[in-house]
Amino acid sequence: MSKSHFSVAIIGAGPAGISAAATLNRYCIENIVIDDQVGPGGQVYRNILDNDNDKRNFLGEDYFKGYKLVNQIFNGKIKYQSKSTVWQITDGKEIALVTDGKSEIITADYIIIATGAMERPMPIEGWTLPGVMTVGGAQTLLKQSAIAAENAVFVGNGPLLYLTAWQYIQAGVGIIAVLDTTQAKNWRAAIPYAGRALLQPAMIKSGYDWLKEIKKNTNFISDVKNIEIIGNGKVTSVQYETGNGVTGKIETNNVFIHQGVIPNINLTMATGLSHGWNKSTFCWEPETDYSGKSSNDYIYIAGDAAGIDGSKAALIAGRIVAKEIINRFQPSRVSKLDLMIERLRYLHICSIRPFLNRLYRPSENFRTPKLDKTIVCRCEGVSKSDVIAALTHRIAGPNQLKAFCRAGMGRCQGRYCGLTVQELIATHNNENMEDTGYFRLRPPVKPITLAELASLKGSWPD
Amino acid sequence: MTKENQSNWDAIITGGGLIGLSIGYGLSIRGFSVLILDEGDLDIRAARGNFGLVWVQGKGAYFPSYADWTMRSATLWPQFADSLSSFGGPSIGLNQSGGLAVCLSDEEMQQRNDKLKNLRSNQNGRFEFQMLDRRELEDLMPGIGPKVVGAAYCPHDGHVNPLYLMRALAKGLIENGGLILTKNPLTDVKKIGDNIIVITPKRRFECQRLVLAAGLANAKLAPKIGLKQSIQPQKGQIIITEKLDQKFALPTLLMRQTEEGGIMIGDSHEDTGFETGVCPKITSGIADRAIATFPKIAESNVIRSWAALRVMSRDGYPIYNQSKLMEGAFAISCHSGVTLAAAHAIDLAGYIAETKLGAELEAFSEERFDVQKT
Amino acid sequence: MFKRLETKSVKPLTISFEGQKIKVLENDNVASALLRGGYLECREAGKNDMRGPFCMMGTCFECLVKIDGKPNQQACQTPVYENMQIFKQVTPSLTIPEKKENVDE
Repeated sequence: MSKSHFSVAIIGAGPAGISAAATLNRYCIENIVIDDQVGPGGQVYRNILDNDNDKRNFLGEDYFKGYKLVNQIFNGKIKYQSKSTVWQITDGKEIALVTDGKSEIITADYIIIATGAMERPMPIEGWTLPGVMTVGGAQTLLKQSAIAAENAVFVGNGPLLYLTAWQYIQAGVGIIAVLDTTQAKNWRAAIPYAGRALLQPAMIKSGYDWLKEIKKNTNFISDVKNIEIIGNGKVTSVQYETGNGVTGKIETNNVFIHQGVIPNINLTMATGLSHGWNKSTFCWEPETDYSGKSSNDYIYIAGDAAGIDGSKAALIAGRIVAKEIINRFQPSRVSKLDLMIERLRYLHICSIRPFLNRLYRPSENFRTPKLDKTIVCRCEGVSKSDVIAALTHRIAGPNQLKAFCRAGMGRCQGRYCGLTVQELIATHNNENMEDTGYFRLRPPVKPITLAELASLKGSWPD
Repeated sequence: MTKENQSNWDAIITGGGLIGLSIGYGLSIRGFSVLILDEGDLDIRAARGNFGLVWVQGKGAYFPSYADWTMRSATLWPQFADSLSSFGGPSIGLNQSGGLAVCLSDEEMQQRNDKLKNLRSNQNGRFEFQMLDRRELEDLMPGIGPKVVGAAYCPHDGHVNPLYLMRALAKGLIENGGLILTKNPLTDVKKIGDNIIVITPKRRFECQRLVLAAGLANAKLAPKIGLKQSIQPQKGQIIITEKLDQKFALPTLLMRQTEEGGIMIGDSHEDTGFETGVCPKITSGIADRAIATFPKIAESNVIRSWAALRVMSRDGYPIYNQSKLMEGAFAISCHSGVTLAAAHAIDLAGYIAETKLGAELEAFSEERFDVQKT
Repeated sequence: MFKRLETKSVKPLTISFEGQKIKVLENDNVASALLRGGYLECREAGKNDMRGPFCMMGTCFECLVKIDGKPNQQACQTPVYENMQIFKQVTPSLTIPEKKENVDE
């Protein structure tokens, strides 16, 4: 067992993590980047070092722009440790991780959590059937393996969905339909934020181009308010209803679902950091100050892990957090002016967010299931009616609920049911979402074997 | 008037954990209207650490009253489980087919043997146990590891699903006219005439019986009824694996398989105050011992680890006290909520109903901690 | 059906799923290999409850398979190698293990 110490440990090799590492490297601060995937890039730049623009240009220009950034991870003072899963961060600045079946502890003076985002659960009827995957999953298949599903149906809304559908079209893969769940009234509600959004014309143009291509090449159905995925053992069709009462049924074997991304809070919550409920993005975010510092004095959070601002913002956030840490080692090494400019850049890049957040806000219809039989907790097979039955026992919150119906007790540790359960409780108890709270998450942040856990034993100094 | 608005109750219990629910349930089946006042979802709840063992071996080896009380509860468990099953809901999974304390060294075997021999003698032979060597143990539990020397087997031991137990108690209590109000901690209490007045931040209640079963919070609540409870938190950490495809015949002191098939593994005893952090140093030790006991589970995934605070009295035994200041008021502290649930629901609830604790509980009075009585 | 959009000049391999041979590429992961091979399901979560790859990023734990005898492997996180033997992950049915003759050290 090696016990290694670094000045800074960065968890996550996505844009925020690599940007932070490269910045620290420029200022000669040795650091380690720990990532659980086989290669660097996170989700947005997945597999970029192996992807060829010529052969995979359907992925789009923006994707390939990430090459230079991601390649920096091999620079000088950055130690890059891939295929390593962090499963706990302790109060004593210890990071417990496992690589190839063996656990170890790495310590650091400062820790940057840059673990990114995950997709918001979308508990629609039939979502557990083989053939249903997330849109993020579809994109990963494109990037990692150049594999796509013919004649799929895309269901949901949000930039990731439109980008992926556009990539499918660029690759010549036929999409039967896009069932867009953006509520018609959201367009008007988003107008107040449109002005600021115009500060990012390039992003707006991208989005517009994607939607134009999609509408030209597939059956684009707007304002979908009800969806049911039908099948027995696998998907056979999707039934839908729009806000206008128009209904339809589409035959397909593949459905890709998506209604936005949310910070992946399992590590930050299990580490005991403070979190707050974001009322406009409808999700939990770790609390950070202007420098990216969490409620813990030596843990910083950068990128989508702190709040969804996108990959371009993540690059800047990585630099800001790195520079703030540099200044903790050597006060004023990075000037106040430098930091101020970075923060302005950050604000500028984020100017489109309020508009996107309001326009693509996930609607109530898709945040909790309509039907009683719909599965809420995939891992434990707990349906909406099981949760409602447990609520009759006067449950104080999600943690007591776990005890009564097992929702949240499976391997994914609440990632795909936490928000759904929270909202079902809040509605039943007539409470605000922030008052209801969330599952109390504990290590290990991802399951590890008993042997992997035991492999740490006896390696502490007394 | 709905139950929610009702302010007059026969009995009010502070604490919706296992102690409070067991006593509350026991009172409710005796015809008392019972209100349980509980705190919130994230507050310190010892019940989170419930392992599920209905355990007799070793308890009270050097404190005969505790051995008696434990044995009593174990014999009451089957009828207690039956009464709970009449309210429907998932079975609480009571299994009293015996249990093992696995020993990984000759020294452990010796210590265990001595302890249990002592227990047997102070129980006049009612308590049975058998020290098993490796070979005998392997017959009972195939797959034990090479480091295992043997085990102490006790036929009185068993286990139950603690989560379903709590659910069944709550259900039974509610179906008998009781109510559980969460986020309603007791802030003050006084006696006016025959009534005990209980005050929470938002409400005011009246009752004839008050039971303080608020776990560690009892330390600050007990003085309100003129009592003292010398209790401190003691941290215990537990890990749980995903479902295994191997069935284990018996629970051990440190490992118990749930109905779903996952294994709960403990434990630790740490004096770290009120913090409930999980420590990899401890959990890796717990995992290591589990693998030494059953090597085949080494590849099973740990999906959760957590810590809870035991309500630990100075000598580790329960505290049962009746208030002299306020008739009908009691303070109860105990860290073996599962094993004693039956005795609490049947015997203790009966004593509380009659406002007189049984003679066998005198040994558990807080006064045993007073070196000099004034 | 999942189709492959291009094949880079990457080494082809053969693996097997439930005893059936599948041709894959060297940098596939098990999940993408199964999907490309037409297999949408890989795990039995319960009675009449089959699951398949869902998130492709290692967070959902739906794509668990048994690889070369080892269960609980996340297919989307495991790169393929020649002759890999993959089987569906089946929900455990609790069985009492055989007597001590079969216990390995």
